[in-house]
Amino acid sequence: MHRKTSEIRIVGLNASDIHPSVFSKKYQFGSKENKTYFDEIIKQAQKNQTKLHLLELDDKNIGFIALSMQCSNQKKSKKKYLNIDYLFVDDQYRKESVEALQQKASEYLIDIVIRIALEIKNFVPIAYIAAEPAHKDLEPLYTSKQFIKLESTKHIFFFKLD
Amino acid sequence: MSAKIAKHGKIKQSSFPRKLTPVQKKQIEDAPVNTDLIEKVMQTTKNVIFVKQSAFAS
Repeated sequence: MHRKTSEIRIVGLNASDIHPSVFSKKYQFGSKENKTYFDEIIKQAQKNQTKLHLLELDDKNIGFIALSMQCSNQKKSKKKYLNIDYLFVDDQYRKESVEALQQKASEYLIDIVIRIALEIKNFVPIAYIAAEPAHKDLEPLYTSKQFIKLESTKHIFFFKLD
Repeated sequence: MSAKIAKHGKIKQSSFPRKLTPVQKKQIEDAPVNTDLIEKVMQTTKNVIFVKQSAFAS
């Protein structure tokens, strides 16, 4: 019997496309704290300080990432990098592996970040991806994707691209 | 999730140090590019459709 292949979509949102009241109804947050993070990042996205990329699986809203380009302040060698401002997974997809993604949604979103970074790198030189997990418990997510903890920081990670 | 909420309730845009110490700079310079993982990512994301339009646009 033919099995239908799931459609995985990444939807890039422009600031003008974001309607917070509509947007927030698409997700289950699991806690007040998560909703606070969510509301704050939406405000930043509306101000064009970060860009949202939604992960949809057969029109189900799985989660999203918020990304921004940053630049180091080195005097002689300024480096651009892609910063993971936020990574959100809907409460119902957090713990289990998602069959169509063949891994957890959070792991898949990291793959998407790397993929986006590689695409950007074709046009703009970027040296690495940077991330700061909100909780220590999230560090294994980043180390499992070979992010490296930056020296002399508590939990800031990078993934080298070039 | 990534990102961090500061005490006043705002998410810090980025806590990655803008100015790296010599040790951090060397650490990044010396870090290898993980080509195996990059190849794997290209495989896992090969069927993804990237869309610019928003499902939530008015």
